[in-house]
Amino acid sequence: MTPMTPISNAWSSVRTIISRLLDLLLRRQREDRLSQEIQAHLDLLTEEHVAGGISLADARLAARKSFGGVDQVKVHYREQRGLPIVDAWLQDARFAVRLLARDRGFALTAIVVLAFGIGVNHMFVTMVYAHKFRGLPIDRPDRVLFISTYDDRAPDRLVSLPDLEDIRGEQRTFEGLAAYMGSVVTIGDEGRAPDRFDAAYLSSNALALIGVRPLAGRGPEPQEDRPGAAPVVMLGADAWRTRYGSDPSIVGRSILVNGSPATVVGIIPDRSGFPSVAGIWLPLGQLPGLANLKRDSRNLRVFGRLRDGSTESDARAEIQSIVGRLEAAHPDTNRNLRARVTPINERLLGNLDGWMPFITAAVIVILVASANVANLMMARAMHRAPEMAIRTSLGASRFRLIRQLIIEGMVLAAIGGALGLAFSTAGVRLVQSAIPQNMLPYWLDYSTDAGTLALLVGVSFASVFVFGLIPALQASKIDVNQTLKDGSRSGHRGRATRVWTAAFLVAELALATVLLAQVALGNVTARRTVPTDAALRTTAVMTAAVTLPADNYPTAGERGEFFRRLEERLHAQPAVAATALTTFLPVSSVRPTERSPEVEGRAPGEIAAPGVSVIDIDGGYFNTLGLTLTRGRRFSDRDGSPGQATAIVNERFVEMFLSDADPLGRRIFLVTANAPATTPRLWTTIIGVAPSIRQHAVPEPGPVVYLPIHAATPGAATLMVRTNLEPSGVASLLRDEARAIDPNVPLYRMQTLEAAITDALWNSRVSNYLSLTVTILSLILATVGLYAVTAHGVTLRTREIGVRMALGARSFQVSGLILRSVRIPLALGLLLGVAGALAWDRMFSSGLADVSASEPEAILIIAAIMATVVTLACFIPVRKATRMNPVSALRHE
Amino acid sequence: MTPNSEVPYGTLDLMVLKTLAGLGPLHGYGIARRIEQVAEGSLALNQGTIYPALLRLEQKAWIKSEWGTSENNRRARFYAITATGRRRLAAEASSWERTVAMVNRLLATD
Repeated sequence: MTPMTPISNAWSSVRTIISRLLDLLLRRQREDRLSQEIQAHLDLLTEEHVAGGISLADARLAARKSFGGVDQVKVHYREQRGLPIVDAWLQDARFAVRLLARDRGFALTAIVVLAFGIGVNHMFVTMVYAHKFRGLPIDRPDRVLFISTYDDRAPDRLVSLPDLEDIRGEQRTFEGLAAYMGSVVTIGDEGRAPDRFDAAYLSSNALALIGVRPLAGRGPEPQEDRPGAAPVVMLGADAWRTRYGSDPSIVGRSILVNGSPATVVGIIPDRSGFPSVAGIWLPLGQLPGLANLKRDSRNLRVFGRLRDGSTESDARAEIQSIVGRLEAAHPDTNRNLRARVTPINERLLGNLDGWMPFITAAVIVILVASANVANLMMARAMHRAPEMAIRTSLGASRFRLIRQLIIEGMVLAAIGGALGLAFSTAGVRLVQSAIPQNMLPYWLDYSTDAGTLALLVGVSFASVFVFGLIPALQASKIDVNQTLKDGSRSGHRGRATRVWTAAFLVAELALATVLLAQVALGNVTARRTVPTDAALRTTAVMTAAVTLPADNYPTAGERGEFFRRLEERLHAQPAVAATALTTFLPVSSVRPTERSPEVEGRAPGEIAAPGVSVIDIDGGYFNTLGLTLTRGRRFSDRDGSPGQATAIVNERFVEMFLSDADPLGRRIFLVTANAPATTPRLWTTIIGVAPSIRQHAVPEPGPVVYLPIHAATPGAATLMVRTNLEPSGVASLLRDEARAIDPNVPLYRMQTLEAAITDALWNSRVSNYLSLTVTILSLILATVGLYAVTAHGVTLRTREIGVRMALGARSFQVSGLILRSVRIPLALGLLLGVAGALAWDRMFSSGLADVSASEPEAILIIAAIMATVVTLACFIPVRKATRMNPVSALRHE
Repeated sequence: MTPNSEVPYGTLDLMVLKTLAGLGPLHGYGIARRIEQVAEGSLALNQGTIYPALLRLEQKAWIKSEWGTSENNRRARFYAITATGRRRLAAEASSWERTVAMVNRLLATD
């Protein structure tokens, strides 16, 4: 035959498939149509024969004869139609749904267990994916590369402006290179109180390179990117809404940025807070002091988009060779400087550190759920052994039986997966509501997309299949004779089945114990550290961040003067009991500055010192927090002035570095990273010892050195005010007093210290919620699993128990019988769980030395909870067994 | 050849297409009758086998069908050849001729 063109051949195949698919849906209609057609055909034939002069009955017969076998034609026709395989599967699926509906207890348990497991798993998948995989919403992100540097002193440095300009001039592989630097700015204009916004200074091409288009107006022009150009600013949609009521005429108007006028040139749409949470964008050229940046001030983040035709490795080679030439040209500043070129997502998303416990937990939960479903399916398969045996003896193939079980599994997986998605969505929403606003980068999006959904479907089916298949194979191996002869409706329980059941049970218990151990350890540790925060009387303290515009307050003296006057005015108010100024609030979510200490009289290398937090405070600090120094005195006005280099350290610092003698009067020195060894040591005398409080949102308070803030008053600090009144009442007072001194100074992040600490702890709070939820779920799942196994055991042994009781066994002996059957999996599960918990600790522990100290207490808690789980799981089956009426038990089939 | 030979494999489709191309829309009975007429008794056609063939052709969109009324005022399904079907018929017919010619030549040589 002449071959048709391949396309038309393919098309007719496609047509055939579409038509067959339609047939599946329209089965009834097509069947009717065929019957009608055949009937019409037969009628016509009959009429023809009648016209030929034979009797109606004979004519009918003749018609049938010339038509051929009606049923054969129909069968032939049906084979031609639809997709016979799909057809059979659909039939089995309908059958499966009917069976599951009949066995409601099993189906509900399996579905709920699956839904929990899948839900928790998918919730973690969604979050991990959002944080670590989805990345920035930019076009072709693999073409956007981040350039950083490193040398032998620091494993990761940024790029300096002179280096960037040289690289820009020489490189040929990038469409363009852009630099940015995060900042916080004050936006003000006439008549409105100034507001603070997260901001970014960036090269004029930066937004275009990542594909952000202004909602209104325009982006920055290259000439605006030079120092001395007329200042411009781009507002984020949020600032535009909240400050200017979405007024489009704001574009072109002049507003005050950090106190100086700048023209609004564009509005940037929502959800474009590049690089993280920015709401205001300024040209890099406006960065204060930009022109003075030296070649070794490596403080710019640089990225670029690859030119068409060049690859990541081209770019890496080129940038590295340029940076190599820079080293040769500037040996004093660029010694050993090397370039690193990484895709921007890889750089900004970071690695999976810190997420591994969550990922592990997510995997554990889905495994526990799967083990549970497996055991449920196994128990069910045993119940159904007689049914299977009968079907086998009636000629059902092994494949057909397995297919039936697989399809049941698919139905379970589909329903469980759908419910799991609902759970996950609700859970993610809860987590989101626990995270303070503006805490997460703009590109974080906790939504489900095609990828995570595919994973959900995969996990749903795998969790049923990998595990559902084992019982399926078990069941299909049924010995027909044995099962039918047994005559027992509950079927025969093979050794292999028992082993599998026990194995799943062990796994479940072990995994639940691992998770429980984590939570127990974590909570015990956390509880022991809470009192140090509780020492802070946080509720009556109002806090406000203050940033003095650099242009108006260029010197430390002027800045100190402002804060002193503000505190004086506040002290004059009867509602104010105490005030303090600090660079970091206690339990801050931002890690305070860290330095390495040296102690006078000890060799520099003698203290293998971890960093100590350095916090600048004024004299009112401890008073305002309600703390009393354990030794020495607090800072006075003279501390910090020349010749008065003094410090207060906390007790933790004393324990770690000064435990050998009286700390008061001793001198320490804080090493500045990267400072040449020849820098003269400026020794600081310890004048006081403070109680250890957490200065950073980590479980344990670390060593802290407090320095007098007025030694060099910074432009940004946080004010704390202890009040005798309701703290929120002080807010307006604070604002008024600040405005009275200078109306252009904004107060922001105004909240009670308690609220600030709650916000700062969101991360660990959310982690706690998550791990607690996961643990409780896995415990519930383990309980259900254990229950299912014991209950099933009791059912199987009903007759045996009846015999024993008829022969005089006491109820405690019967209970023992039931419990004995699970004692090995129970013991093994718990042992493996403890081993797993220890391994987990080793893998993920944050190096807290004191965790092990809480082990005895934690182990008691674990033991108590696991005992409760076991009791709960075994109680009902055991009671059922001991309350059995021997007579009816013996009749039990 | 025996006078009542079976329908050679694959030729029923060709016969149906040709019939519809020549006579216009027809119901299954009409198609079967027409093929029998042309065969003049040399073909043992079970008329019922026409239906799977019609379905097959319709799935490939070479023919289409709709309900209509037969000459005796009965509801019957009428089949008609489509443009694709006509192209296909031409291709199949020429291929058939070439096959037959080839077989004939083969048979003619000893």
